[in-house]
Amino acid sequence: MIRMQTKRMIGCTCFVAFMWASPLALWAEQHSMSDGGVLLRAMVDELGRSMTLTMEDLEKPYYVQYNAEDSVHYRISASYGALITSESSHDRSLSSNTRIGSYELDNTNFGGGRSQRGGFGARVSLPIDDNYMALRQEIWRCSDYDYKASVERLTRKRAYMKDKEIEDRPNDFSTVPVVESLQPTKAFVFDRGEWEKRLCRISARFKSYPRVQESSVDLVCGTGTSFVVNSEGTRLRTCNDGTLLLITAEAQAEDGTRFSSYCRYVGETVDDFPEIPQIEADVDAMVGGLVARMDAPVLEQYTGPVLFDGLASCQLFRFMLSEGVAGKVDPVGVGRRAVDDTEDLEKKLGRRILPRSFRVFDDPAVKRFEGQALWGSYDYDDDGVKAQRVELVAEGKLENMLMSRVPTKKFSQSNGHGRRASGDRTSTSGIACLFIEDRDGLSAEDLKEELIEAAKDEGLEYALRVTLLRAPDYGSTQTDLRAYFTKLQQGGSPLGDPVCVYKVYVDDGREELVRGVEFGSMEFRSLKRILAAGNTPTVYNFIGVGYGGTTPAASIVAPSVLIEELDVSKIEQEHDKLPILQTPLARKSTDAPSGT
Amino acid sequence: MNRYASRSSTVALVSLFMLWLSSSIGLAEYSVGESVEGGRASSPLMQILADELAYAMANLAMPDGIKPYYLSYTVTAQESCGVSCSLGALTNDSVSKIRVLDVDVRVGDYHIDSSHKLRGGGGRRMGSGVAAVCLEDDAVALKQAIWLTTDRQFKRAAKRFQQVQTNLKTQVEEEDKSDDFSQEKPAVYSEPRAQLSLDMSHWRDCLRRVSSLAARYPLVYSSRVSLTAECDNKCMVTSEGTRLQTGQKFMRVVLSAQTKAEDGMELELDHTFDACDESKLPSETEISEAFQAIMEQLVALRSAPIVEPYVGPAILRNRASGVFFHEIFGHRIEGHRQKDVDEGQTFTKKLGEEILPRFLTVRDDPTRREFGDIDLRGFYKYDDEGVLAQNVDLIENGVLKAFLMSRSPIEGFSVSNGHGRRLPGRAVVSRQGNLIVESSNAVSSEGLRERLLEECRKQDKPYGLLFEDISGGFTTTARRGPQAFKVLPLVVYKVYADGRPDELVRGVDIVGTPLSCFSKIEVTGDDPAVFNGTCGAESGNIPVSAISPSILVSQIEIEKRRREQDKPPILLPPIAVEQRQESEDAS
Repeated sequence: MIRMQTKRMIGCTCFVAFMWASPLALWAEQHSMSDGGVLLRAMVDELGRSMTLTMEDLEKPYYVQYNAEDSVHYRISASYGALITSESSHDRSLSSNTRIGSYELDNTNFGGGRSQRGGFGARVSLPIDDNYMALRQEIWRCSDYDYKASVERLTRKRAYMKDKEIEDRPNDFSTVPVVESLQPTKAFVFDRGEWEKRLCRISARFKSYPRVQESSVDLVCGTGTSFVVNSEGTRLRTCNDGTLLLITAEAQAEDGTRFSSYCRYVGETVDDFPEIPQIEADVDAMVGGLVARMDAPVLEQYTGPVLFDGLASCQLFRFMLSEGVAGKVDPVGVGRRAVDDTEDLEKKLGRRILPRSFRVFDDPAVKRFEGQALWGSYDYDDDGVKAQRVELVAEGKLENMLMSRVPTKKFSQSNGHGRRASGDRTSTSGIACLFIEDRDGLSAEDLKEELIEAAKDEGLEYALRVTLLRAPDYGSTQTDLRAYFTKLQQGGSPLGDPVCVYKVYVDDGREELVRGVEFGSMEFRSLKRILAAGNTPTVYNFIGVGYGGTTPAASIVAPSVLIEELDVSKIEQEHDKLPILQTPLARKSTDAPSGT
Repeated sequence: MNRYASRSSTVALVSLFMLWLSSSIGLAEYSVGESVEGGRASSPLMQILADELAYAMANLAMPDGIKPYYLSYTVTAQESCGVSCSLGALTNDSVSKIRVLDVDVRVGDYHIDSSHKLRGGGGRRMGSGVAAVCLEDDAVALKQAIWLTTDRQFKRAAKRFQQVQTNLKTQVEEEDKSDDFSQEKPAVYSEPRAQLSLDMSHWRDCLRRVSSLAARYPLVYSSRVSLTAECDNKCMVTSEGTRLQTGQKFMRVVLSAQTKAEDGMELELDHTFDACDESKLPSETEISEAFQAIMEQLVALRSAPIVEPYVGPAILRNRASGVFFHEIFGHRIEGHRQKDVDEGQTFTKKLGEEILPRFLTVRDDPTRREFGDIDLRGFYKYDDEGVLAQNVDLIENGVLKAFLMSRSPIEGFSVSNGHGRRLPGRAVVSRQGNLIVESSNAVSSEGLRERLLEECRKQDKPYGLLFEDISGGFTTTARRGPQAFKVLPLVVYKVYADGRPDELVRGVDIVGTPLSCFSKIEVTGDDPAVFNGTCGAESGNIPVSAISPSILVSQIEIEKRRREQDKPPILLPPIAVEQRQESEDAS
């Protein structure tokens, strides 16, 4: 298998079509500059026809929505000073959502029975030329398929509901104001040749680090134009640039444990990145940290206060809170199951879930935070609903949920949080830019003092400070993804293993790096007992990787938090042995080839 | 094989050899890279590979002293570009370059090594170690990738060799005690680097124009015209001293059209032009004509009657017959299947016996570049184990003479005949190249038709069948499954015994078992033709060709094809709406 990186792509459409060389790349840029007028017209015209779809005596759709994505992007990857890939591509795709029945009850929210055609919605790739007829032809085929599947699904759902005792259900779909907004498209400016050189230069840095076994420098950047049209009259075009520079390194400790580390730069365009010397310095620091971790002692067992510092705190909230604040409804025909608080918090509405001094809100309209681009931001969600700031938690109490157009028992309206991951056919509610604040936040020094106090209180010699967790992110190394999901399958908690862990000694506050540990299970209610938080928030941008693909790009901005008590223990696991031969980087030229 | 790619059998038991049209599924191709300096045997790349190989052979050893006895490095630079159009619009435009390193390590000795089959389950075939490597010949970057990949692969081989030794002790004695790896003379050869030179902007415009012809056929619901060009430059070094540098190009123009009959049956026709050189690609006129021809035929097929299950005489036209032989015969004479106890081994013990009618002679000749002026996709100079490609006479006058051999020997065949092939990353097995069927009992096309009618009368059948074109087929060679095959015809005619005109029909698949089917071949045509395709099996998708004359089979069995149940599209296609609008406007 060619490594997974060859398939990495940023939040763009998923049909892979690679292009090469500047003449073509230039052509792609010109294309992205077309205003999408032809595509929009083709979508609107076919939408009109699709509303008339019917066969025999079956109902016509009451609602049709098309989402189209046009994306131009580049992917360059280098290792040890040499280019591994440099590709560009232009893709277009469309998904169709056909709703039959009524807002109260339609063909969605149904999981019963077996559908030969999978879930709701259909998806098709579109011509990349602005050719009206060719575009319509594809949209027509997609809609036809979607209508037939939807009408059958509705019939099955009604039959199921007739047969079963079903408690009152919320409506299947809500109305929203019609939006007409056509953002102008812009050319994506990118000097590919220059960045090929830069990536080679950055990746050459690893030549001086023989303890690193594998390393790569990947750049993905591009521009995406999204279209939403629906039968209610919404006509929306939005344009977004996105870019990611990812530097990863993998190594093995003397006992065989595998370690990986990364530097990640996120922005709208490459102009958001620091200068190359700065990146090189970051690489040096990253390798320094990696080596330090590999050589660090293994921690056996610990129970006590843990400070989730910086990124680790954002990651903690991702695992513990970000899913639960999205309003969801159980589909008809899916057996009820006990849902963990981390997955659905609606039953906790009005109750306290965080300390009193905390507030949490989600505001997709925030584009940047302290100069850093926020991946999760948007003006309109993926269903064409205007983005709204939602106050989720006030005075520590859960007051609201993030809503798409699919109502839940307690919320009937969308608040502009319908999100769709790249390649998905439909949207679901989810976070965009989640902000967590503590009005009593402490300075870093005071927070460390709190940590030490808490440990002393427990009669401990030291406390733990964690700065990074293992998370299944777009861009994670395969080693990390495998480690994360293997554990999840074995019933482990979704909270990823702590990657960077420090012992903080209570006597003099000195810190010592340790390695090789995992968390015991963490209850949702531990969030209520956060002892203290910091006052300097960290930004975490991520695209999650799950079993079924990726999740929409999102951002979490949170201060460090001190958790009262957690179990931390050594990971019991066998490791691969170190490579037999010395790395070529460390070989002396004299022991090069010989027949002896 | 099938015309285009194929499913590979992950399960050892059912090896499906399916052919399908890659263009029909919006191909997301992966491709191809490049860049080997010059063509001299001492290219920088080869030097780097040779140095690392020597270093690894000299120093690689497990703590218990186990060392590799064979090591090979192959770097395949694949470069590809593709353009697809539909209804005048570009749907895909891609260029790709990639270089893949394959590392093959063997532990043990030529007699018993780490590649030995593990019986009793639990043993998967060991693939090669693979890594994507840099596009340029950068020594540091290459060495780093080679070092890690070799280490992993050697440890796997060492571990597997231990399993092999245990397995040999716990299982009953093997029937075929041949060596695991044959001794071959090292090959040293180098040819200039192959390079694509296509005017893509010309092709983009050409395919846009051709594809727009589909607007005249509103009943063709989906169509595509595409060009793919691929260029592979391979550099191989082995611990036995082989040093190879080869380059090859593959180009094809694929035309496809799909529709749905009123009864829900999905119908698809395609046409392919293959070339191994830019100069042999078809002209726009040729492409247009072929595209219109398949669309016209598809529209005719849409309203053609469905044929009922039938047993009776049939003609398989040349290209269809080529696929037939590839599936039914070709896959069963692949050497490794004769040794694998999970395989059906239809022909293993039939060496020297008559298995085909006496008038048939079959060989596989990968050294053949073209047939008439058609380039053969199954051509290659050296196989993927670095063995010189050779013509193999498989059947002489109906009698089985040989098998297709990789370096995995079988009883009676201790050396390779240059048929070890694979896709990068897979383990090599023996595969077909250019399968060529020749006949000493050939009649003209009219004569063949006459013989068909005669057969009908003899068997008291109102009609015989003529299989004009075929999309591909698949076969089971594994012992666990039935030793059967299925061939998927595209264009079939009923030829009436009473002199009525031929009638186009649809909805049939040919089924049967190989041995009984071969005995029913009565006579052949004098019209050999080429089917160029892609064959998928254990070692991945590889390009192949089959050449055969038309054949008359006294008895063939057909069954109903699985039919999709949903109706054709509800609304008129947009192209039809537009045309109606125009004609209304005009009147």
